[in-house]
Amino acid sequence: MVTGPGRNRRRLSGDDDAARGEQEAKVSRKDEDHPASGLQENAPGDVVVLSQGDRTLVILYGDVDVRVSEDLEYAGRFSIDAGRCTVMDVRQVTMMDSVGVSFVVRLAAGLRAAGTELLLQGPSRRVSELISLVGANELTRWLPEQTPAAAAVVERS
Amino acid sequence: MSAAVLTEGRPPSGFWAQRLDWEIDSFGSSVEARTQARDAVAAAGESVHPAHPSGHVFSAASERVELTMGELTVNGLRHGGPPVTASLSRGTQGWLLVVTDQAADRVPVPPGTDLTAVGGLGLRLVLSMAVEVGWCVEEDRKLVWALVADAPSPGLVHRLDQAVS
Repeated sequence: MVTGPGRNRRRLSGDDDAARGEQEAKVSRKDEDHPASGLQENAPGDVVVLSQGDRTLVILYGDVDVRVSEDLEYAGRFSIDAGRCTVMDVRQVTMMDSVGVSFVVRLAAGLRAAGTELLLQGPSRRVSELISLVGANELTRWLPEQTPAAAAVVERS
Repeated sequence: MSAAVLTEGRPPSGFWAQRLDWEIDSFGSSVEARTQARDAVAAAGESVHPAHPSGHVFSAASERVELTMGELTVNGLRHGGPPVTASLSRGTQGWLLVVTDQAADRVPVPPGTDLTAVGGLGLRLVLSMAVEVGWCVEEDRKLVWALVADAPSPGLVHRLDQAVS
């Protein structure tokens, strides 16, 4: 399990990595940062990276924009270095600018160059439209839709 | 069905009523500007154009204005340096966004074809969101402007139709 140094870093529940196992990882949020409906309006987003078996899981939250560019750089470097199929969960993205789109595109291209691929877990109309607008549909593949992660439980894909 | 083209020239003439303006010195104030711009357009423009039948996120003028304002102001901070100013005006042709910075010698260039190159995607998105985009130099400051229409262009809707998810 790897997480970057974001300001609103979510904490992983459970006692340790072994307790979490490879079947699932639970992500909990700080209630004071993200009351009721989730993320505070205008708060910077977040990125969490998990190693899950033979895959890397990248979860994006909130406003994925220039304010989290360092976190995205870190996450991208880790994912490409891991060289495994990477699933990016974009269901909780509320806003994405070109920094976020560039992260998706460059990660997809990097993984492809490494002989693997980036799979996107939606739905996210916003993200899919942005990817389409920059002409990067061919670089990514979308997984079938899953039940929204209301309980913040990330199932192993 | 292509996007707008970056041109050198002043913003389109006509009647423009300035609604909001900002002085931007950080990414945080860029976020404030884009959010306030989105809210202003949602409150005003979309009372006339409530929702495009396509249902696409970026068929809404408020979403296009928000993204455009964010990209232009961040570009101003990154490539021009603070102080960056921004304004949002309303006219008969839609919404005019003007962002200025002090780097008059660093003019915007059209994005290349390599999607993985560092930089360029922001302007690419702006060219998708706006119907006209341009830049000029006035009084030693660079102005970058974008005209965002109330309704999405047929070209934009066509490209949004290609979205996969």
